[in-house]
Amino acid sequence: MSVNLSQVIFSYDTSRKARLSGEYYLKVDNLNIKDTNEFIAIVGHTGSGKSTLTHLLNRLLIPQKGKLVVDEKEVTKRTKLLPIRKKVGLVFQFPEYQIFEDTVLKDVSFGPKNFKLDNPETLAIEAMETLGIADLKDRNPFTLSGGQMRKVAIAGILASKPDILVLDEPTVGLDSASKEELLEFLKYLNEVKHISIVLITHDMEVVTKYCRRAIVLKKGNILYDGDSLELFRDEKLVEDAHLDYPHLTKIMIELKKKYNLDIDPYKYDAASAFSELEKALIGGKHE
Amino acid sequence: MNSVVFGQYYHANSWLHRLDPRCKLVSMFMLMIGVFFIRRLDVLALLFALAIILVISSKVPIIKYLKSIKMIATLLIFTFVFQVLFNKTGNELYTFNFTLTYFNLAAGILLLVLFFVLGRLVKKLRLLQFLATLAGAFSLQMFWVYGDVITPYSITIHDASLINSGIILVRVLILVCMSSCLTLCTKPTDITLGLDKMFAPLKKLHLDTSIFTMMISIALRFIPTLINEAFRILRAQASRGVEFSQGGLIKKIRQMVSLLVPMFVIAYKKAADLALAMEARSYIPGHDRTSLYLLKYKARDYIVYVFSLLLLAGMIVVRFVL
Amino acid sequence: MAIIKVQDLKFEYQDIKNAIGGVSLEIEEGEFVCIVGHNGSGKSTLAKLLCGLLVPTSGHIYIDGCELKAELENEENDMLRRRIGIVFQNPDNQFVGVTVKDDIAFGLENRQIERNEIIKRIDEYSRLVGMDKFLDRSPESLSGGEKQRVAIAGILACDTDIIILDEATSMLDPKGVREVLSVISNLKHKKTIINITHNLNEMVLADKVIVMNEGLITASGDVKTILENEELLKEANLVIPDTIKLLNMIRDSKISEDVEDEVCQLIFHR
Repeated sequence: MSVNLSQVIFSYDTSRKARLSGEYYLKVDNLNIKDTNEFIAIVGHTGSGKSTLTHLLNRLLIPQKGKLVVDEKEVTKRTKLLPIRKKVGLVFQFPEYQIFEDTVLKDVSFGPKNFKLDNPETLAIEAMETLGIADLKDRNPFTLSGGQMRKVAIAGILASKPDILVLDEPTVGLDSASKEELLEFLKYLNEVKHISIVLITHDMEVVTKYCRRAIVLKKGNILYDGDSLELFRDEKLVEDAHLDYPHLTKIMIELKKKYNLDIDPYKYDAASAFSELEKALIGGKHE
Repeated sequence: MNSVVFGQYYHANSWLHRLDPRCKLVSMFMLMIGVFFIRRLDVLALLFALAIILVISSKVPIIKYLKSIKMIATLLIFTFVFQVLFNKTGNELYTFNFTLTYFNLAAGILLLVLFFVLGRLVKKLRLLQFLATLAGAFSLQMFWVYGDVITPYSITIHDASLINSGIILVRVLILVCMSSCLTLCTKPTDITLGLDKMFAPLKKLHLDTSIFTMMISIALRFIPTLINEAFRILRAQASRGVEFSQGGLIKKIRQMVSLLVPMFVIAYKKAADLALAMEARSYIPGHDRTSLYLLKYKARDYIVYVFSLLLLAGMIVVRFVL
Repeated sequence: MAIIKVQDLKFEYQDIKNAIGGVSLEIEEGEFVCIVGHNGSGKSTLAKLLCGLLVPTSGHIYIDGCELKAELENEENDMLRRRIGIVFQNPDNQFVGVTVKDDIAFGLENRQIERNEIIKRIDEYSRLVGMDKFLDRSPESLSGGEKQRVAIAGILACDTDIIILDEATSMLDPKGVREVLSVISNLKHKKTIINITHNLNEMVLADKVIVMNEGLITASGDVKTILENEELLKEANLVIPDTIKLLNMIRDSKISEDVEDEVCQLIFHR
């Protein structure tokens, strides 16, 4: 099953003038996101429409044109939105946007209660356990540290058991260890619980190391939708979308150029990059 | 992100736009006071003509003014009607005789139902629709007397009450036109700047207004940002399954809390960050500051001052001497 | 003489004991220093103490030999604080002005610089950070990188000689980071720069890296020695970057010294 956007045009300006001029904020010809095993990065400059795109996925925003199809059923004016909101869980950039209850447990179970799921509190505790914050359940969320608050926010969405978990720049402001911890957790959700993960990020290392698919946006248009490593082979695209190379890739490209090595510089981690390098260097010596 | 433009300012190039904001503020204030002195419909009509001239010469599309009038139109019409109906002073002008029968009562109710049904289809010009419905219902009671009579009644219009209501109506119209003139032709920042410069001398009397004007300009800066944040919170809670259009009173209150708490937290955080940033950039409340902007009176400003003063004097004369 | 000298600085929040638990350091004029550490290690608190935004519980801070004291109403103190500018993390929350021009002018107005000079400096410094074409734009129409550049211009315009960047690039997109970094690297050795960051790219710009953990300085030295010290990074709860891992693997395997040197140079730009 999946979420699909086709021929979608969205604009924040709903005035007649804007409609007639044909200007749009975001245009999506066709985008399909499966509800299992996807790990997608959405990248692009500020204002390219990344957040807007994710808000279209669960009907938080309604496009002027085009359709949203969830599980092969087209979403219309009469469609009940709750099941869609439950299916596509959205974690906003700052936990402050959603946390409001006076205890962590109440706040995390707020979602499941709204979706009228059975045993919301059990679901909440379960979600908190997977994130390792079950011991915070009676604390006031506003007294927690930034990192803990972020986990509470994620638990608040996870508790409703979404099929697709969308996170808007979840690693901003985190130190490298917390960042790795969070990403490893998402990897676990993806690999063990088979939840699809959609990540808005500016961090190219995250794109290559964790994500399998990348969607590149520029000024409201999707420039690329495909393998996250292959993306960086297209030099023009990287420049055009104002992206950056991951540091590792940058070094590998330089090495390839300088020593005229027969290597594939597009590797997602240090070990695989090294083995590529080793192969080429030792092979070269033998010749 | 989508940006919300705050304030009514409409960019154009008219003499009203070029006028010094202090001059606009003071003149507007004087004319508004003057308008309250006047109790004669003919003089008010003259002033209204003056307001119309201002409106036209501002080069701002008339529709913008009509929009601000529309905002208070309902209130205006109802006060006018009630004044005319229930204020019984002066000579009798005309008496309307109505007869309420079962038939035209039923017809009136039918019209009202029609009005609500129509509201589902046509969302525009609701006020006009409502007035038409009322007019329809009452004209039936006047001209279509058929069936068993419930009760006859009459409404008398008095001349003085008509004039009094007219005075109120015209007064409010003048005030709305003039204040719209000010806000449409002056950037909010310029209004703040004008206030700042106008009240700066009060500092000698140990009345510091600079903090106040700084507050206004910070508010102007952050209102669009906070409106955007409010939308984001709305969406964040909606994606947690809050259905804002549904639920009873208790649910509604909880929904409001789920919006208000994050809004407060975010506003507080922003304010704390901003306070730090301002302090780091050497802002000390109440200390002297220089200003990037300089306001300088030109000949036209003096002319407007003199003209408004004369006008105010004239109005006072009309009120107390004539 | 060191432009910033900190002696046994301590600071406590109401609920956090030993947010800064006894820090001493010296920063030379024109030096570019990076402070790294995990969330809650006390980096930002230290930055706020250096700017006089927080008052230390005990210890001393000397700017150019003069002590920065706690009393608010102190002319001399004000003059000292004015020599330090800080750029915070969130670009939106520190943008005071309604337009770019207003924002750059804000600090100058507070310092009672006269109008003609303000106009001159706005022109000069907006050009320096590449924002001279955007002077009348409102903050909503700017990207994060643009807002941070305006913030830097606002500080430079005030003639400050110490600039602190408190995770100033962490909320920006790659292009924004590049723009801000290029502005910062142009300032290198012209101003004293203290950069608090999680970004490796920024660390390699620095002359000296200071590692903080639990409110204390646990190490300081050039970026190469710090990043190659696995023990130290682990202890400070920091992750070794992939590029360093690669370098270590090449070094351990001894396949090619030439390649090792090259990688080293590519990472550290020297």
